Amino acid sequence: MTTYVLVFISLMVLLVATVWVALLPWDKWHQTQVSVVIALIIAVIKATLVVLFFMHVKLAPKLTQTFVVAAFVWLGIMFVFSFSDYLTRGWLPDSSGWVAESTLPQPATKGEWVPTEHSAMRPGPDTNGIQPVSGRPPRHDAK
Amino acid sequence: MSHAEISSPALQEQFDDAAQQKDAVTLGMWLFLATEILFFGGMFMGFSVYRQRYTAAFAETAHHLLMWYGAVNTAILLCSSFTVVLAVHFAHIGRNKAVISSIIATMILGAAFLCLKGREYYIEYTEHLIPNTQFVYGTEQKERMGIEVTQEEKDHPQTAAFAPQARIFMSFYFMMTGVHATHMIVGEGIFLWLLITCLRGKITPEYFTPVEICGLYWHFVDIVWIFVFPVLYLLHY
Repeated sequence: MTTYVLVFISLMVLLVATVWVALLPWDKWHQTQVSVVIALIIAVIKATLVVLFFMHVKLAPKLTQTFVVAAFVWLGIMFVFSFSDYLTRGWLPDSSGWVAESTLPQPATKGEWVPTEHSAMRPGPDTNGIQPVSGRPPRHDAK
Repeated sequence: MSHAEISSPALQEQFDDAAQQKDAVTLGMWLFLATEILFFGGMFMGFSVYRQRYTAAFAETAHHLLMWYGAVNTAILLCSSFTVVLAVHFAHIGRNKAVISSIIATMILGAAFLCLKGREYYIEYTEHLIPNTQFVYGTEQKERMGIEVTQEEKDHPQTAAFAPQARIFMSFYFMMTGVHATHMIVGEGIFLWLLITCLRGKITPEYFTPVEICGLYWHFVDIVWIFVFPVLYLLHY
């Protein structure tokens, strides 16, 4: 019973803390990323308290604990693998689509390959040993 | 019935004893909650990707959510989680009347949450923030169209160029809070069933697994809100 009251008080204190932190003038201090990190850390602490004490995972059998951990591990897999894609798309000059158009080397004409400062890293039209098939016999319907 | 000392009326025949039945039921509930974690996780994943892409626009739009409504709703949900824990505790020590009061308190707090959420949706509707055909983002646009602009919005003007991204943000907002609110409504139904079960005297100190399992669901919905609140309302930088 005492544990429950203590956990409940901690949750309320953390709620006040997270609102207070969010209202601080982070933009004037040029530390806006810090406020995001603090808010997420507080949320993780609150969720952990609820899972361990209110949901009795701390006293649960090992098998149940394994299932709980597995759920969050798989959530982690989704986030890590997805962000390893989205956050790294601008790292190579070939990236397109997700990267703003203006940051990419622009071809002179759409669809036409022209050498740029990144040419060495871009595949040319005839690379990989594949030559365009020339002298292909005309199709029956073509004139 | 050779094991008379460990059998209870609620013990199903496929289990050896009450403890095994309780472990199995808890494990099954957590398996369901694992699927729910990944279900909500997908929405958080999508939101995170768009947020790191459109940081400035999302931060500005987040300013126009009603932060204090969200904060009060968080407090309400934490209180309701506490009353759920009390219900489980009282069921364990066999105080049936206290269990019933705790369940009723939980349902009232849940209803209060939903009322505030509905009020919040209504205010967002009047501010043209619902991403439908009535969606208008941009303080100058609103003034030109003769739409009333709140004082809060004059202090934090909306950039019209952010309108497409603001629409994405509001879509995420309504989807995430809407699915969460749906879970709350389902939770109210589950607790109504639990209340009737308690009133019919089916909950005893030997068998109170229904209180625990319903409690797990309620706590899970609370945890989702613990993340929804900072991610949507507080990350306004």
